[in-house]
Amino acid sequence: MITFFIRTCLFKLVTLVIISIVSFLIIHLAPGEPSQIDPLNPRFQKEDLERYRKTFNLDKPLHIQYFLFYKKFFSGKLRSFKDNQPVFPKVWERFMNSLPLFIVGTILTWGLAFPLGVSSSLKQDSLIDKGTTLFSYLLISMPSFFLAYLLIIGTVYFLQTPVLGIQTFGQEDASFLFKINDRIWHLVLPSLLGATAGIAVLSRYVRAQMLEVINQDFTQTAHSKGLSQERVYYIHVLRNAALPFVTMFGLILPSLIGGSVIIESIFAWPGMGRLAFEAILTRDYPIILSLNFISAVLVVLGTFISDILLVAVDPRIRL
Amino acid sequence: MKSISKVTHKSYDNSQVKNQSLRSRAWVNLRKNRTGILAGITLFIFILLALIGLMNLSSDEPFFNSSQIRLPDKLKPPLSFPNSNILSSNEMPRFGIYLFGTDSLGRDVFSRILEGTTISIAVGFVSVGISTLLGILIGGLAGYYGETRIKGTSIITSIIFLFIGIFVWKNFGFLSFLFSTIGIIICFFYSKRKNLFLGFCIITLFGIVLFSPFNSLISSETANTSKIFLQRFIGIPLLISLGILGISYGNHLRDKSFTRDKYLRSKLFALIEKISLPKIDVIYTIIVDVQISFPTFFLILTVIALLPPSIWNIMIVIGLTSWVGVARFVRAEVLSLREQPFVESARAIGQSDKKIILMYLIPNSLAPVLVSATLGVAGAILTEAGLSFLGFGVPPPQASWGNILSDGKQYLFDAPWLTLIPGFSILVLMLSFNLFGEALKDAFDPRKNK
Repeated sequence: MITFFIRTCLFKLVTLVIISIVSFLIIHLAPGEPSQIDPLNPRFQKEDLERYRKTFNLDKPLHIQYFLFYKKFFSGKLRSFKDNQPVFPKVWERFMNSLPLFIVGTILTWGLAFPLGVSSSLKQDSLIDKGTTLFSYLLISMPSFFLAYLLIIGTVYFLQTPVLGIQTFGQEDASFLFKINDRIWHLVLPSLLGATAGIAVLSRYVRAQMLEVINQDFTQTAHSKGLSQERVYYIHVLRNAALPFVTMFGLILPSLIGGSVIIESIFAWPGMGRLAFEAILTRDYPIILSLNFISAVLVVLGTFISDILLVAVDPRIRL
Repeated sequence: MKSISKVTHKSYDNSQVKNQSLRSRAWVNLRKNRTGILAGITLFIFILLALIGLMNLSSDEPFFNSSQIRLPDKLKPPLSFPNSNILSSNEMPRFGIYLFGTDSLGRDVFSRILEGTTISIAVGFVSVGISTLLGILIGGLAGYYGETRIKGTSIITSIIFLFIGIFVWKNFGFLSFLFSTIGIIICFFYSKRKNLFLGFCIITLFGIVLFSPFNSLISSETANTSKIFLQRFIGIPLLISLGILGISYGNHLRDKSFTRDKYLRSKLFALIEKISLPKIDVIYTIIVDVQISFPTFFLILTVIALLPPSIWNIMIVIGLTSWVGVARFVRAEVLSLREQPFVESARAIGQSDKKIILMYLIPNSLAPVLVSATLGVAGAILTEAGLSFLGFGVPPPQASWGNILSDGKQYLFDAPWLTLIPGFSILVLMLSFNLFGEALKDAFDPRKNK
C-alpha cells in the first residue's frame, strides 16, 4: 500500500513537471511576444520595449526564464504583466466566484444523470428509455452558447428574471433576503448550462454500465435466489455499476477553468474562465501559465484521490 | 467428386451467416438501424452542401455571393424580397429572394451559412485526420512495444540522429532538413536497417548541397509568424520520427552485436546498456496523463490567440490536442491482436516488426478508430464553432457558423434568425454525426452478432 502510494506520488510529480515545461514552451515558442501586443502604439518607444522585456525577464534565455518563473510562482511573488498586481489574490477572488457555479453544476450533473441513466436502463427500449436517449443526444449535440441564447430569450420573455452577471447592478444596499434571492436567480442559468453536457454524457455512461452489469451471471443468481427486484437492482447492480464513476470524478475538475470560458463570457460572470479569457486577450503570460498549472494540479489531485477511492471502495483491487 | 464438392459448398453457404467478415456483418447491422441510416443520409446531404459551398468559394464569380454588402437591405427577415428599386441588378441576391434573411450589413445569410458548412466540415475532417494519424502511431507503438525498454545503445544512436537533424535545421535551413529527414524515412521503409546511418549521412549531405542556397528564400526577411509556425509544426514531428529511427537503428546494432559477440563483451557496451529508460508503457502513460491534465479548450484558445489568425492553425491545433481517444482504442486493440495466432505466424515466417505493425495490426484495429473518428469530427466542429463564437476562429471576412452566431448576438431580440439559423445548423450536423457514430459503434459491437 505504501509503495503504491509513493509510486503514484512520484508519477504525478513527474507529470506535473512535464506539464509545466510543455505549457511554458507552448507559450514561449508560439510566435509573438507580449511586448508586441500593440506595435502601432506611438507611445511605445523602443526603450520602453527594452525596459518592459527586462522587467519581466523576457530577454533571458528560455531555460533561465523557466526557472525564474517557477521560482516566483512557488514563492508567491508572481505579478501580472498587465497591471502588475500579484497573481494569486487575483486568481483566488475569481476562484471563489467560480466555486458556487461549479458546485451547483456538479450536484445537478450527478444528481440528474444517475436517476436518468438508471431508469432508462431498467426499462430498456421503453418509451422512457427512448425519450432519455433522444434527449441526451440533443443535449450532447447542442453547442452550449446556442443553448445559452435560447434560454436567455426564454427567461427574458416568460419569467422576466435577471440573467447576466453575478448579481443585479446597483442593488448593493438592498436587504439581505433580496440579495440572497438575487444571487440564486443569477446562478440558475449558468450552472444549468454548465451541467447540460455532463448530464447527457454521464447518463449515457450510467445506462451502458448498468446494462453491462445486468447481463452478468451474478445478477441472474440474485434473481433466482428470490431477492426482490429493488434489492437486486439498487444493491447488487447499482453498486457494481457505479464503481467506474469513482475514477470519472477526478476528471471533472478541469472543467472549473476550461469548460466555463464560454459560459462565463456570455453571462459576464467574473470567474476563472473569464479571467483566463481576459488573460489570453492581453497575453498576460503569468496568469495564463498559473491558471494552466493550477488546473493541471487539480486534475492530478483529482485522479489521485479517485485512484485511492477506487481502492477503498472496490475490495477486489488489492495492492 | 462433384457431389462432394456440392455438399461442402452447401454447408459453406449455411455457415456463411456466422462466418461473414467483420465489415459485412457491420453493414448488415447498420442497415437495420433506422436512426443511424437517417443520420447517415443527413450527413451525406451536409457533405454535398459543403462541396457546393467549396465550389462556390473557389470561383471568382460565386453563384451565391456571401460578401456582397447591401446596406439598404440590412436585417431583413427570412424569405423576404430585396428592395429592387435601390439595388442594381448585380447586387440582387440569387433567385431574387433572401432565403435566410440578411445580417447587419445586408449580406445574404443563406450564402454565408453555405460557406460556413464548407468551413465547419473541412475543419472537422482535417483535424480529425491529424489526430487519428497521431493516435494510430502512438497507440500502435505503445501497444506493440509496451513491455520493452529503450536501452543505452538506442538512446545514444537516437541522440546522434536528433543532433544531426537539429544541426542541419539550424545551420543549413529548413529545406535541407526537410529533404534529408523525409529521404531517410522513405529509405527506412524500403531498405534494411543495416545501412541506415550511412544512408542518413549521404542524404543529409545531398540535402545540404542541394537546398542550402534556397535557404534565404524562406528565412529571416520573408518569414512571417505563420511560416515559422508551419515550419515548427512540420519539423517537430519529423524530429520525433528521426528519434524513433535512431532507436530502431540502435536496436539493430545491438541485435547484430549479439550475434557477433565482440561488442557485447566489451565493458563500454555493458556500461551503456545498463542505462535504460522506463518501459514504453510507462512513458505512454505519462504522455497521456500530461495530455489529459491540460484543460483542452483553454489550451486551444491560448495557442490560437497567440498564433496569426488562420483556418489551418485551428485545424492543426484541434488535431494535436485530441488524439488520446484514438490512441487508447488502437493500443487496446493491438494488445489483444498481438497474441493472436495470425500475428504469431507472421512473426514465425520472419516478418519484420514494421511490417507486422503496418500490415497486420493497424488494419485490423481500425473499426473502433472509425467510430471514434466519427464522434471526433463532431467534437472538432463544436470546438471550432466555440472558438469562432469567442472571436478566435476563422478570420472575419470568411463566414463560419460560429462567427455568424457571434455577430448576430447583438441583434438577439430584433433579428433572432441570425442566432437561430446557424445554431440549428450546428445542432443538426452534430446530432447526425453523433447518431451515426453511435450506430457504427453498435454495428461493430461483437456482442450483437451472437
